[in-house]
Amino acid sequence: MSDELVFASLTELAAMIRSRAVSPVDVVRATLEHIERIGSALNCYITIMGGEAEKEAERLEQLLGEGAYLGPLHGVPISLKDNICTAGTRTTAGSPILEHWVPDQDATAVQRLKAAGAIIIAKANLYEFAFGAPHTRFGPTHNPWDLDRSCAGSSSGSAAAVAAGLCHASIGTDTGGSIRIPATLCGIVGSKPTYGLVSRAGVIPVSYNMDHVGPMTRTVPDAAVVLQAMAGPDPKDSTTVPATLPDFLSIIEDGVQGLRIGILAPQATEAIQPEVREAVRRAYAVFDREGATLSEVVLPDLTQARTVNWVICGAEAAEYHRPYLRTRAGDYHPVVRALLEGGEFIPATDYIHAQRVRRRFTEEVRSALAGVDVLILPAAALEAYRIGQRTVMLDGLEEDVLQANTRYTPLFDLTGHPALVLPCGFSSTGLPIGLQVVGKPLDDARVFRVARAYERATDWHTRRSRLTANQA
Amino acid sequence: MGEPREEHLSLEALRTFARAAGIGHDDRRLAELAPKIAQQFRDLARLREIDVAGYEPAIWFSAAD
Repeated sequence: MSDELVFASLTELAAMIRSRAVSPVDVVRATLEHIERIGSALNCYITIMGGEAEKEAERLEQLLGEGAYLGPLHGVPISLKDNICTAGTRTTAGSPILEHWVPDQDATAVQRLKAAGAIIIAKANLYEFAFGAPHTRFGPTHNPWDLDRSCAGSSSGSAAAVAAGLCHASIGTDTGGSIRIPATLCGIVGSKPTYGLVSRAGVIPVSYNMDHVGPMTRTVPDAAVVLQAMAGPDPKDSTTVPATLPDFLSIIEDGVQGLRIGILAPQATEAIQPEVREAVRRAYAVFDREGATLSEVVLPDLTQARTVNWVICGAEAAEYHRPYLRTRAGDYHPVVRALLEGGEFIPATDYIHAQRVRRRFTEEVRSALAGVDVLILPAAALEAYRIGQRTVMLDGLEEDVLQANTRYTPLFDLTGHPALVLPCGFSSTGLPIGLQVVGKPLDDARVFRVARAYERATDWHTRRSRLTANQA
Repeated sequence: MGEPREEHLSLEALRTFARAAGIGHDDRRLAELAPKIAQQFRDLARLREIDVAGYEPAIWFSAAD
């Protein structure tokens, strides 16, 4: 029963709770027991909110008994990347600098999740300040598919926790790929919504221009449900989109028959692990079989996009961190400190130039999408690498693993287009490979629809890692 | 002060830039950062080659602010 509860999809679990087949109290207990069993092996949580979660589960159980149902997340355990503020619970950002900081307000996204009935069960491990590397104070998150492997970052703890059944969804943030890359390496779904769809209020910033908040789940409909609960305009975040919110589930089961799908035309700098390339090609064939029409589209140079992303991100993050850099520089992880200090040496003229390139790239992506409904492309260039590994050989060239794995994601943080990753295969070493679906601005519903069509046609999302298969 | 370029990345140049920008590193830290900053300036030089004629900066803001 415990195994059934912790690995049920979020939508299945929510239905069981609503019908009173299970109680939120049982669900929280099962989840906490599961965390107790395997949580430390993964090091995916910084703070486990067991006491609060049990109390909230009792309250929600009582409400159900009174006929009150708060919403589609009623009684569902959800974790939060620890750069998302929680009133009364420390929010460390994975840094000794904020190790004991306790916010007095929930982030807007958290308020909305709670209003829909979610139970916040833990704060998840991450790269320090969602940037660069995990701090040694908190250590790296281990990949549930191979504990010697990395989850990458920065939403590493969130991805591992979802993959291992330690929550039914986690909320991550994505500035250059920080939801999508760990989701890919852990074999789960990660959604970076259209920029402005989810409020950033109460989220510790990396880049004001490019931070996105989004769900990480085990299935595509689960991500749609969680996004629906979090999205919407927020007076506390002037960049939120005032548009009427679409129903993300309304067309999710409609399939891809008749849809036009763009696939990435090869780029000169696009080195990729051969098994990833093959898995993505096989995914193209699935879409073809399901009735979509595929055609190549040209996107801006992905390497240039990564550089532009870095310039904007580096300058904005350095500005935010300046007070800490002056007073507590030695408390940062050396990699994070160097990245931030480097950001202080980006001239304003180059920052503005990067913003102009960003405008150009945004228009080029819009043009690429004009003749198709969505784009599909790889999510990450390689499988999960070993913890501590610095470089990888791709197409005969040695490359930094961080650079290699941020090949396909930063462009869409620059442009704000919705982008979702989901599993599309496994390498010969048994590690997950991911596919990315990118849509037009505010067309997140169609992204879910296309991703769901692939999910229905394949069984990658049903596989479980050895760690959880053995111990759950 | 002109925009620093790779060939000017002596410790003195970095020190001058850091002081002008209010970045308070000592010489040892500046020397540690120098290779990274040099690489960064190479990346920025490549970025400047991208033609942006006709494109305004894409900085988000709201008129309601």
